[in-house]
Amino acid sequence: MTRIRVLVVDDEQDFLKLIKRRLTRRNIDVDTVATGAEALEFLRDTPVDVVILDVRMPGLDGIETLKEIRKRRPNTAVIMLTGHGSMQSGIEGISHGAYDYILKPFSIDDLIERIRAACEHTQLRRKDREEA
Amino acid sequence: MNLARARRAITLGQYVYPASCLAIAAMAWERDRTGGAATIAAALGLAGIMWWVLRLAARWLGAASAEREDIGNQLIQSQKTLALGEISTGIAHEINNPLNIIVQEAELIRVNLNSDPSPEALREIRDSLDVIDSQVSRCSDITHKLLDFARSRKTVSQFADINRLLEDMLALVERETGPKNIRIVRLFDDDMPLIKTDPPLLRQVFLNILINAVQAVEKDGGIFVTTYCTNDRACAEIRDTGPGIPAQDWSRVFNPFFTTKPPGEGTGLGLSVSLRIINELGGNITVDSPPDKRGARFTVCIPRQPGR
Repeated sequence: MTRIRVLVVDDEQDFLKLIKRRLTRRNIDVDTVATGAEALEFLRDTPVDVVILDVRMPGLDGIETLKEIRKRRPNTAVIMLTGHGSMQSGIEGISHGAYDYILKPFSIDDLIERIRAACEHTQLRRKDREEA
Repeated sequence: MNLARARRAITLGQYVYPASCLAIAAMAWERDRTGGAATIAAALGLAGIMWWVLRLAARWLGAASAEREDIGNQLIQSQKTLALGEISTGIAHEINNPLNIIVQEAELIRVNLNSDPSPEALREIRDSLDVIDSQVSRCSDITHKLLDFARSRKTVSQFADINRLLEDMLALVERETGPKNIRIVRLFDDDMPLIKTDPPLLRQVFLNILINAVQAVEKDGGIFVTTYCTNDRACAEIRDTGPGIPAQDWSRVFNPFFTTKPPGEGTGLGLSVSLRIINELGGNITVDSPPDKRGARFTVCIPRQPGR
């Protein structure tokens, strides 16, 4: 299996640094950006397998970013990440095509498991589309 | 079903009965040539009449079953028309309210612009534009949800643990049920097998039903979440202690735009989208009220093996 490539979008620099170190140690390629706009910019040139997206960010918020990502890169799985999840933001994210929804705090194993599942999901979908 | 079976039996009888009569006649002929001609003539006549009667009955039954099929089709058609009516009223209602506000605000802007606008009037114009903006996005939200409803989803099957999917959504829901004193009771079957299904779509369905349950209970109540497996299906049951749904609405709750919430709070598309998703996964959602208990009960069942 090829290495999984992940983009993490969160406005908290400490969190980005930490998660990059932890995921890299588990053989996942990680890039990080701090805003939704930067994420869209990044994705324009670089395809990734999974985007991990904080729901609440200054500027373009998580849901708006999610909508744009789904529009521009439908083959990228998005996992929403939130420290203060509400049912409403949850259903909005999921109905706009987020693969999964993770509440902070989470364990790194749990996150990795979900990243793998999300990645498998998009690969299966891509395969279906090629076969169709 | 019964009608078709009866028809088949009679069609068969149409031949079998005269045949048996003939066989009896033949036997009588063999045994006693003298007793003969009259008995045989009677037997033959009887066989003929039986054949005629049965043939007539078969024809009637055929006509009846065709008629029934026709009525069934008409019924489906009229139910479709009814649902369409509800959808149209729903769309009209959801779109007309924001349109009305937009019209009012536009008029206000025009009035404010009539004479040279004062700073006060300019501020009002800016406010009006903000309102128009938000109402337009309310409209586009509705059309997006409609498109989302109409979209056929390409489902992808991967192994998923139903209990885990529910648990994830419950974690989200529990952040709001805690302060409202709504107790969530998990009655999970610990031996649920992994199911091949589409996890994100299933999450959407579970969350939709859970949100409805929370809104139905309002506060001080309970939500009971049960999972179980039958031979070929995996099921999740979500029961709340809210006011419940009257039996005559059980089939309508899945119609698009059917809602019991006040205008502006929920478009009435959640359950219809959920049912669509589950149907695409090869399963079904049913609603009822548990006997002797308050509240509504939604049961989501999906096949353990996809494509069955």
